Amino acid sequence: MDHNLTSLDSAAGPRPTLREIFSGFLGLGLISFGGALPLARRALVEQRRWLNAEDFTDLLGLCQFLPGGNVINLSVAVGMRFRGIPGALAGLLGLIAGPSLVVIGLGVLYERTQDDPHVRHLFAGLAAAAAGLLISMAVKIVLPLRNKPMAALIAALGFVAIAIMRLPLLPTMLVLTPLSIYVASRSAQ
Amino acid sequence: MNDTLVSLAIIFSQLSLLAFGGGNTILPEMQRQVVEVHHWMPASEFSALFALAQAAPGPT
Repeated sequence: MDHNLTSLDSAAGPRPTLREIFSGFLGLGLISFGGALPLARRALVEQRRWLNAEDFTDLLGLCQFLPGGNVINLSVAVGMRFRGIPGALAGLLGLIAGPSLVVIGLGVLYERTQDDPHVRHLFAGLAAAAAGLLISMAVKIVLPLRNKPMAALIAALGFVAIAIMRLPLLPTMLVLTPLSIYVASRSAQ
Repeated sequence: MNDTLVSLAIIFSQLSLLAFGGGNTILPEMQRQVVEVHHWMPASEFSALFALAQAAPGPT
């Protein structure tokens, strides 16, 4: 049994304890600059071997489908899988503890120093870079739609509603999501 | 002060329930609520805080 690497129980390493779940996600939270997903895969599958590649992909698919931050959902799902609800809490708290403290610290620093022109320039530059990253991500998501005029139209409607007309997100989603699903089901036939 | 805390909690629980596909999808709505509806900060400060959150480790 110990050598059967394909069985569900022994596919990953030994079942992690609550403490290991907490510290695993604490480490992940602290090293994940600009998105934790690629690092999460390396930490969970390759280093700690809690999950094999297939399990990771399955869980991640679930977490991306559900609302909420993907990695945050992933920490809950992984903790839940090994240690139930206490495990889910351990994963979640581990993941957000470090970054929360860092952001609170930086926020206090920002409050105290935002009138300093150097700090203002620093943040104007950082904000420009962050906006640039967001735009590049948006372009990457939009490009595959160029051969699908109906999907591109829905994306354009969403952009107009949110960015130009400044409509609230919930009604926009309630209108565009059914429309988008309808269009996708028609084009699949 | 307590009113602010309560509205913060309400707004962000709604936002997290709408965040299909990850946190960035609710960024425009967060900005609309924080800047335009509640006037808690000017748009420039929201951008600065977003940059701060991006530059710090952890989920954005």
